[in-house]
Amino acid sequence: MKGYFWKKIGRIIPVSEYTKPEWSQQYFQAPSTILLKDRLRVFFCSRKEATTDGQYVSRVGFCDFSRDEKFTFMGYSPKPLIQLGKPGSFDEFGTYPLSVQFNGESVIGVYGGWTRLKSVPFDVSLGLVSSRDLGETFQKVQDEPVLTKCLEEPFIISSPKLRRFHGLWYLFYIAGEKWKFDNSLLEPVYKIRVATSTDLINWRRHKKNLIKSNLFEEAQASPDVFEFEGLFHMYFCYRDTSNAKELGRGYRIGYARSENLVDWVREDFNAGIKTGPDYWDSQDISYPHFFKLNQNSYLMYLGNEVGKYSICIARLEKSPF
Amino acid sequence: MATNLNLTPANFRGGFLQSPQTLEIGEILRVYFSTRFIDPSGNPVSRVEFIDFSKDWKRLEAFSKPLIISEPILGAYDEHGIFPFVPFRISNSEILGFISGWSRRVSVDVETAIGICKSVDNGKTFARIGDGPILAAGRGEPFLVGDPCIIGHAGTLLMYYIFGTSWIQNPNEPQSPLDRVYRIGLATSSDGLNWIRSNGKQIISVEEKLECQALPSVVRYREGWLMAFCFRNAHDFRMVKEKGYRLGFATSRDGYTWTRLLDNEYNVEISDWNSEMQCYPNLYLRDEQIFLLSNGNQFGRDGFGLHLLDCDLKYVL
Repeated sequence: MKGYFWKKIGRIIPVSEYTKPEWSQQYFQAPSTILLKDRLRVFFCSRKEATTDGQYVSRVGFCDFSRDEKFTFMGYSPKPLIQLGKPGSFDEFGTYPLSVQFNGESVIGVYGGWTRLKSVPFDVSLGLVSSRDLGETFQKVQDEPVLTKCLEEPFIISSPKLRRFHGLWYLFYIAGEKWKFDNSLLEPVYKIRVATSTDLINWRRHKKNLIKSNLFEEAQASPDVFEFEGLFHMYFCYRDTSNAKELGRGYRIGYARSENLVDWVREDFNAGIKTGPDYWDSQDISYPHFFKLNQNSYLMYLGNEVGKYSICIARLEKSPF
Repeated sequence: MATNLNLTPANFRGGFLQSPQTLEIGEILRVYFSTRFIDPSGNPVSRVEFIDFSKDWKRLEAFSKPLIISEPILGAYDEHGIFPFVPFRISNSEILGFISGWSRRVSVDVETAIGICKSVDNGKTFARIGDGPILAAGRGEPFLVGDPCIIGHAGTLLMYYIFGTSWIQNPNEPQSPLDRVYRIGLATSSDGLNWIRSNGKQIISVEEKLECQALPSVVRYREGWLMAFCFRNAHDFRMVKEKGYRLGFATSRDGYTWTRLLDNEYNVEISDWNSEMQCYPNLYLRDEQIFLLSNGNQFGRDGFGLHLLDCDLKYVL
């Protein structure tokens, strides 16, 4: 945001001095927060070790911290929170990412459900869960996706960010555009879109890419949106889809602003956050998540290799310049 | 029902002619069907071809021709084949093609969804309207959405189609791939692209718990509606004749509420080509005569046949 920058505080998950729960051995991804009376609850996605065929199944859990801005660790969820789907279901092979919001006393979550294909490695559709106990457990509102591929969006409906503005639910998400070969590996190209809803089940899609691409065949993800000082702001991440493992071609954090949530002006130079200097976020940063705590604004984001090792946190501060 | 004819061209190469679908083009009756090719991975892919008949069902050509349609993209709902392809005329030159698209999965055999393409040259060529489907898994319909049949009625389009309800293990074959169960549903639309569905409501009653219902085909006749479909058991349907596909029928006064005909209320004439199995029906009405195209033995490996429905239609109303 113009006039601001993100002051990095450090890594927050995993908490090194504690034994990690069984479901959360590798990858710490897609943070999404709710503020409770006595704690900040951070939902995130994580994995056990890969199976012998090198495949992972991503699951959702949470990590609690004190809400006094010292982020004192208070505990992990002992088990994954969203059940995997039955054979043939859209969410049989993983739940990633999850975005949560309070809806009255319930906690509502939209998550990406993963299935595996023969021709390409995976497809993703969005499911809906609800919790009556502040996120300790979640139930599926329906076993089927609430948002899946459609005429204009052929696959990979993913990276949900659920927000509520002026009485309407907004779901920022990504839609796959194509699969391409990069050094004989399949890579998807996906772009940021938005849908709106009054009941969380029926969604009206805007069916238009929101953010102009800066790179050739750019992949965009994690479009988190908030209102601040009279304007809407979006933080997202983007990367190259060719040689994305090379330094500088992986995820970076981008920024755009809007007055109406539909027309966006991309201004990455105003993102106010870059890689480094710490070793844990020196190569790539991704999956920004905005939240407020007391009077301050914070951004959680993933460190190197898309959160393989850590989720990081930064606080919004006025730019000295 | 009487008069069955095997319409398969004698010189056809014998690689399946499945799910015939009739379209009038001037004086021609064009029958689209799905036939199988082997792709580079060694797996069959259904592609659509057609063969033209005169209005008295004389074959006009020796060989079928391929449907000319734009290619699916990698990873799309229909990249591993179209089965069936369902034409629906909207003007003298424009035809919509509804695509029952197939995509191979890892834990189960396949997923299907319904997409759409369009011809503006009276069927010479078709182009996909979008790369994705118009109807895929949704509330109450978790997977395997396919087999569309479109009827225009009172300013509304009705789509009869099927959706999966479960993937289950055959208890006698614990090592074999999972079997699927699917049923017939109904959606409505004003533009053919955006559909309002019934969220898992099954419109045709079930004779037994593991029944699978497929390929609904509907005609309006006088004041009534007639549906043909096929049904089978979820398990052992390839090997055990009694569990394999047979034809079923249902009637309706409004297109929405259906009454299934009992076994003893209809009779499908059997001859050599459909002695073991009857499946994938397509109803076509012309001049007060209802024609029924369908596949026979081995899911239509050797072609399709024709019945003239010789009903007094007491069941239609």
